[in-house]
Amino acid sequence: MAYSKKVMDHYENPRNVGSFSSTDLNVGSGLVGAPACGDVMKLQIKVNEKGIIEDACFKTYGCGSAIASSSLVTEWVKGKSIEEAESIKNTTIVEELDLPPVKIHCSILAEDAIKAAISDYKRKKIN
Amino acid sequence: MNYFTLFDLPRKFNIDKKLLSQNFYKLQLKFHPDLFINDSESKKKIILEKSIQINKGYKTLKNFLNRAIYFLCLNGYEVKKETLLLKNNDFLIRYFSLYEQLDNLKENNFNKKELNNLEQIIQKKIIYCKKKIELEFEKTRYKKVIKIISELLFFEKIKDVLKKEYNIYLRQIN
Amino acid sequence: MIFFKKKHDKKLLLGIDLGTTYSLAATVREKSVILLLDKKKRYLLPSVVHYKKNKISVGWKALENITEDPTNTISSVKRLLGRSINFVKKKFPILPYLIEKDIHEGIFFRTNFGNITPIDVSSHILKKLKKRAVLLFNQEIDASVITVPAYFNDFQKKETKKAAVLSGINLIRLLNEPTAAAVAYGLQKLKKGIVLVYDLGGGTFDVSILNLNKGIFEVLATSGDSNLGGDDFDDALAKNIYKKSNLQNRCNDFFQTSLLQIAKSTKLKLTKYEKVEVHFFDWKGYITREEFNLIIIDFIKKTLFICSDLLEEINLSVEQIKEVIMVGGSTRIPLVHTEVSKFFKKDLLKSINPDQVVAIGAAMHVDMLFSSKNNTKNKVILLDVMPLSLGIEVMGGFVEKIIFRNTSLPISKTKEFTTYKDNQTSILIHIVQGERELVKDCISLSRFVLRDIKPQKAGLVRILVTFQVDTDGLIHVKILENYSSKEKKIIIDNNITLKNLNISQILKDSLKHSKDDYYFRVKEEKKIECVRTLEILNKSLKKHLKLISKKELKKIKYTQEKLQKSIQEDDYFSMKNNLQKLDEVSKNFFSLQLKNAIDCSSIKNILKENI
Repeated sequence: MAYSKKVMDHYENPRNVGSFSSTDLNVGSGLVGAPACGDVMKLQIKVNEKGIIEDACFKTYGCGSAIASSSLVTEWVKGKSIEEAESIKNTTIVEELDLPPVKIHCSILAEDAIKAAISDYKRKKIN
Repeated sequence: MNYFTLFDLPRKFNIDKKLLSQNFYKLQLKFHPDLFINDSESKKKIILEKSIQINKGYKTLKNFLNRAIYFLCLNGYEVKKETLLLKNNDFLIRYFSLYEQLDNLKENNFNKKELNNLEQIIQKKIIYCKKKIELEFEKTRYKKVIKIISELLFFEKIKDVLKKEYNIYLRQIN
Repeated sequence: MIFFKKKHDKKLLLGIDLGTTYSLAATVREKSVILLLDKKKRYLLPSVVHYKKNKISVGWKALENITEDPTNTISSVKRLLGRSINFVKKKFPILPYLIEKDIHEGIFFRTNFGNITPIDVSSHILKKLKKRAVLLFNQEIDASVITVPAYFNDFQKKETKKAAVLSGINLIRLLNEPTAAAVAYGLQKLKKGIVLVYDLGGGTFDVSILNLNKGIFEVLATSGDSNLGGDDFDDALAKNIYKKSNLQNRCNDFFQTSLLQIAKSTKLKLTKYEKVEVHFFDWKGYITREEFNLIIIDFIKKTLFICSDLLEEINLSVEQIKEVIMVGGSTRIPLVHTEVSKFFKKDLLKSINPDQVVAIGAAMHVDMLFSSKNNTKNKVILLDVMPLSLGIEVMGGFVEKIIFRNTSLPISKTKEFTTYKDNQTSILIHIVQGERELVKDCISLSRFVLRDIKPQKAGLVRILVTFQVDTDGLIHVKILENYSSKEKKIIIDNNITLKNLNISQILKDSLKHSKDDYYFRVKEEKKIECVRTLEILNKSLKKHLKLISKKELKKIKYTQEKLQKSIQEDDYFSMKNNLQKLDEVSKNFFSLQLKNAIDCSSIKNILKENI
């Protein structure tokens, strides 16, 4: 099952765990939380002059699916432009159609984190 | 029928836990499925539903958080735990740092002093949240309660995680 | 022998303890509990069944055949109830039976009587008890209650129920073993307060903490290990004797079974004596209680870990426990007693025979269920709990718990989920039981796809999953998809035991045995036997190919390949099975060879004479 393996892999070997300096002007940080599971997710992006996300990292405390989601999302945004990342939708990763359901907040949490990071970056740029 | 009437308790947030227990046992002695083993299938079905309601009600009222969420619901504020989300606020920042402290604790082999320190901080926060919730309920300021419930959920979670991680650590060294 | 000549107005209500090693039944007559005895005044019935071509024997008689015909004498079947083939291969690497996989990933035994499932075996034991009851009371069974380990998962409980239905004993409910024991003590010895039941049987370990009140026995929490018991002590002792004896005998079925029986009887003797003499084939030696203690201490520690975890789970200290009740034959072992007593810092309750207490409690309970409502004097309501958490798979392999362990029963809970991908039209629902975070570490109960979801954006669909668990601890699931109001009600009845995703790894791990290991030796022997058989057969086929038809040759080749595969996979059960099958399909070939050899030699002789 391609789907399970990929997600499991991101859970057992999460990529991009870490943090960037939040004072850095090229870094946008997003912090979101879902109280039901006690998930709290910090997602950071490093954007270059051309508006492309060079690097991304995350630190998530919470349930397994939250950790896997954040790992997947940081992989996904790398190399994308701000505009592309903003319109993130949980689509491309999966090929199978018979998928298990997801927890309601899990389907939104990672997205919200990216969007929060992007708006933080934009705000910094304005100031 | 709401759970307060079911257990014959006054409809207030603060309850007499002993009375709840007593009435719970009374209801069980009356409606437990084992008492209806010879009845018709339709009767048994009704009794099963009733029994489930009694167990659910007891669980809900016994636990502080569940009772709070339920009480809000009775007063017209539906709080779905699954859809509560918080974003970029001070609370999350402080909460996140608690987890970072937990990480440090793990790295320092659960130094006794630091462990106690963290446990106490979390416990204090929990007590504070609970007291606030009780207060706001008394003043019927329901909207305010929703926010504090989110915070309490987070603190209960990190309390559990701390306990689990500590136990794992103890098992490893034994 | 008690024999009632006329039919009684009193209903015949049985409490049945279907144990790993022994089974028994009890009933309440004239306000006292009586155990059902057989013709020789024995209340115990060994949980052993022997399958001959046209005859099934159960109990003491079957036990007599255990070393002569180990392949067809099934014992401790409770350990195999509700288990997948992979679990059995891993946990019981050298069983003497011919075990094969059935279509649902479960197992069945190939016996002289035919193909038999673990459910069949259990039902044969129950039928024997039924016979006993009917003979004693000259009436049919009106209702019965069977006890199960509290820590049995949903499969194991459902299979027990199926066995009961097959045997026609009018089962009205299942009852958890520790709870039954608490009933016996609670009612007979009038204990009140918080009690802990430590139940160590032949194959399962349960620990339950109950609050005994007037009229209500409430289980506060329960835990255990459904694969830990006296049989493990026997196995460990067997390995030890094998090592000590240093015998070079062939490790065939007879050897294995004899070794196990010797270990069992030695264990029993060590309860009474400090030092026991052991005769095993040519070897004579001694096992001391001290040695035995060293062998079993780790198992006992494991049970105490489980106890300590449970106490912590509900924030209870050892001091708050009023009484500790010992249940199960294995609690007679002196070391078990001393260690448990040490841990709980108190004297242990064992005044009711640990072999009988569960059946007694079950009999009392079923009697109470049927006594009139007005007679509430000695009635007790049992509030039991869910032993294992119940959940579904979410997002690629994680478990989302819906009903947590130690929740009071009956209960129901509904949780909402949604789709992951835009326009997703079907959802995979996988129901699991267990405490771990990942699906692969839990027990798979049921798995199916909910189709024809109206395509829409991801995250908008609302799937409502409702679990309902009744007082027996049996599970019913209902799935409701909001927008199309499609409802799918599933009673987890399918025997679909899924393959664990990690199975190849599990098998690999299980094969890492040291060279001195007894299991390793047994497997290697079987492998050598298989290889040798293949060699001989190949040689013969080269020479005498013409003797058999193409069809027969094809059959032989096919079975040879299967055996070859089993050897490569190092699969003990498979090797056993395929070796036996190869014997069968090549029987004709060998007899033809023999005939041919005789004919040839007679021709030679004739030719010789004629020259």
